[in-house]
Amino acid sequence: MTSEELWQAALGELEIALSKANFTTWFKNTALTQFENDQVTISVPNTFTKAWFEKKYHRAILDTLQRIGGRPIKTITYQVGGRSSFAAVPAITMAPISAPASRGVASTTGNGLNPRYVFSTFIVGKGNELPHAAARAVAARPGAAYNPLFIYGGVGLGKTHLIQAVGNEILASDPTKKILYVTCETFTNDFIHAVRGGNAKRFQDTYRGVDVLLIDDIQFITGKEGTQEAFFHTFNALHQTNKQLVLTSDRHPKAIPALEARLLSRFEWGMIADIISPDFETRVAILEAKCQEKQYQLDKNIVSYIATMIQNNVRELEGALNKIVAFHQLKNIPPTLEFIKKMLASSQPIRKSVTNKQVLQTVSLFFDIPQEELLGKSREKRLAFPRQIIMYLLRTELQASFPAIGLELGGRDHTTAMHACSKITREAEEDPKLKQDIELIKQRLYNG
Amino acid sequence: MRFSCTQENLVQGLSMVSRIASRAGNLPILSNIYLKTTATGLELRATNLEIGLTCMVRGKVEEVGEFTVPARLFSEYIALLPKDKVDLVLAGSELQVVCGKNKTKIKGMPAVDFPVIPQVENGEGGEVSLPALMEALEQVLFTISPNEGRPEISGALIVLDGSHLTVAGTDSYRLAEKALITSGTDKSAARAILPLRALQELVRVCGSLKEEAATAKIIMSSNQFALSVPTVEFVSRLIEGQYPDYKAIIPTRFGIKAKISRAELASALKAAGLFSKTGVYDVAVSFNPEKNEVEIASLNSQTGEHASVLPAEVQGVGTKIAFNWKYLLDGVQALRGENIIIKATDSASPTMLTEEDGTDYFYIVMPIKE
Repeated sequence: MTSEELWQAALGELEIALSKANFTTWFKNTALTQFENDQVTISVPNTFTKAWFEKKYHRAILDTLQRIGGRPIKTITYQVGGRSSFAAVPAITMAPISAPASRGVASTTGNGLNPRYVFSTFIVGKGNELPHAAARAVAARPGAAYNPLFIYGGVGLGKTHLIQAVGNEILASDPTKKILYVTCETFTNDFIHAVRGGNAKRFQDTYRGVDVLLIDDIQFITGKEGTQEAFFHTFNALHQTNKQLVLTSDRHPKAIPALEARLLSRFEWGMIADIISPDFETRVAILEAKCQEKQYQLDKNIVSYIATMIQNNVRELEGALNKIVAFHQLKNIPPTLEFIKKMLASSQPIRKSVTNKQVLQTVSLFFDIPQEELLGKSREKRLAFPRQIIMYLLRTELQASFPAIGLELGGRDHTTAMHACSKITREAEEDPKLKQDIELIKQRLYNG
Repeated sequence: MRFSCTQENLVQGLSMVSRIASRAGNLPILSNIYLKTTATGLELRATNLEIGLTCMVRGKVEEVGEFTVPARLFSEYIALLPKDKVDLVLAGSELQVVCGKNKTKIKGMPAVDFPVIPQVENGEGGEVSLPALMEALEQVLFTISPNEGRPEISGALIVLDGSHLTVAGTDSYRLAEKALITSGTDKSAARAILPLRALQELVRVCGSLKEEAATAKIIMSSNQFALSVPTVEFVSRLIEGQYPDYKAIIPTRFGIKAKISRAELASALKAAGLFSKTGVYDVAVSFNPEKNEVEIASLNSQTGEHASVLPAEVQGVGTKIAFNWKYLLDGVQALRGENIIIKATDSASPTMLTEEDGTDYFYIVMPIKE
């Protein structure tokens, strides 16, 4: 038994013997650092713990260790900390305060753009070629290329980066242009304030007086009828005067529930581009670019390991890198592949377990079809297809048996379920749109 | 336990310790105050397992004993009592408080579960003037901010070197250092990083002790700091780690030097601050050696603009540097004396503020890069 295992076993016993409050207060960050013959050294985080162990818990610790270790212990020494003595003296530099950074998100002109988001820092790969090219075109000829530009895709894939880069690029080439970046929430709030405060004129001036309007996460407009109408009029006013609109959403406009038809048709007017998860090469490129930005050297093996482990979210990718860099700087230990494996394993969220019911619910919401219809007898195409996706998900995500799947979906035969699963598997490989939809459903299933 | 004292004495003791008792924590007993009657009086203790404070209250001890009661409840209640004699009697699991015609029973917890406040072992130290220590802490404290990424600078460095005690702090945008005289021997040498929270409490403790004692004893070990006067002892844990070598970044040469009235500069900065950009807090400071003037100006597209010209003795190459006006003002206010010296080079290098007649304190601030 290693000293670490021994201490863990002892903690296990002590945890039961003590109250939870006492245990977490006193035994957090303790370790057994030495266990030789009858001498034991326990490292404690501070002198308060040391004093308390000596006075109060000495007997209990001694008894427990003797019992688990199976040999008599003569002395236990409690040592405070212990790792500080050989750490190198950290350097400190004082850099001038850079003005834009201290401005935060909202800059002085109040256009809501974060100057950090520019095209030059956006890594282009297979998954985002189209939206990137479209965004560039819009930035080059605002109001003329694609109007509106609608970008959709999953969480942390760079939608906000792209939409803000459009604004920053236009501003860079023509600082007189009036650009406004808002989230859908801000737009809604502004509208509500305008209605409540009776200053609709000001709301109109703000939103209709701009050259470029960028709205992030437009899907949140769903269900807000008043806001949809306000947005509809704003949209028309801007579009008619050839002012550029760029919108982002986490799903295709058709998949936004409770969206008015006149808005939907307007969203589809210009260009709809989707961002999908970056492929392996792009993920590596992103990591390398981030390393360069931070002026941090990271081993090639480590980079490709991280890129293999984190697949669906650029933000997580960056987070993992930040964690490694921070750890290195704080503890002064260069990261090894072993260490990173451990770190990523501990930070990987445990996948939420989902139930049949949740799958049904999520798909029903996604396609905006009531559950009863999905479970009903009708074999209309608009019902059959989502039904097949449910069957596919039940099979792939929940490992349900074919007869069980059939039963779950209104008592259908198991061969129906088998057909559905093989059909969706085949089609998803050929049709990226379907693949993306399934990804989105899964994302909502596990994150929702 | 049976004890009597004046209400004022008890209030004074409680006001010092009750703030240390933490309100939210894992261990409920940490929100209590520990009371112990000894031959010499009533001892009050509170700790949050980072800081510990022990305080003696003068009074008449009739029976020794110990107990703990909720800090907030007890101190708020005692403060409401008339200025009269207060009797404390322990009866079972309740503390009886009798003062004039007021009679109360406060429920508490047994003292055996109250943590021990550790004594400093193998420490080095010396005597230091309390008002001087308090001033030094206040002159440095404002440069320190909580910084999870760099724990070693989220506290003040305290260095004992012979008969000198140095206090330094930085948040990597500004830096302050103050030197004090102690009665330490030539051999005494110790370094400690005292956490921000402990610094704040220490300033408060120094403030309330000023009338009681002129000097205090400081002891530092590798993991603890203690300050004591005969009736009060303050103990804090230290931040583990090495403090960065800040001396390396103190510039020795500057392009321009100005001697300027401290009060005039402070009010000019406050005025300019009103018209600085929101979130940037920038004011432009122009040094003009030809006219012997320093101009403080600011501009905000929404509120307006401002400029004031101050007479000064300026030597060197004229330049214009933008500063965060709050950072600059913090330094100006921490300095003492009628006139101060500003030494600067350009908007990429540190600017130093010192007193006209005094070498024991300096403040360094980084400009805003345009």
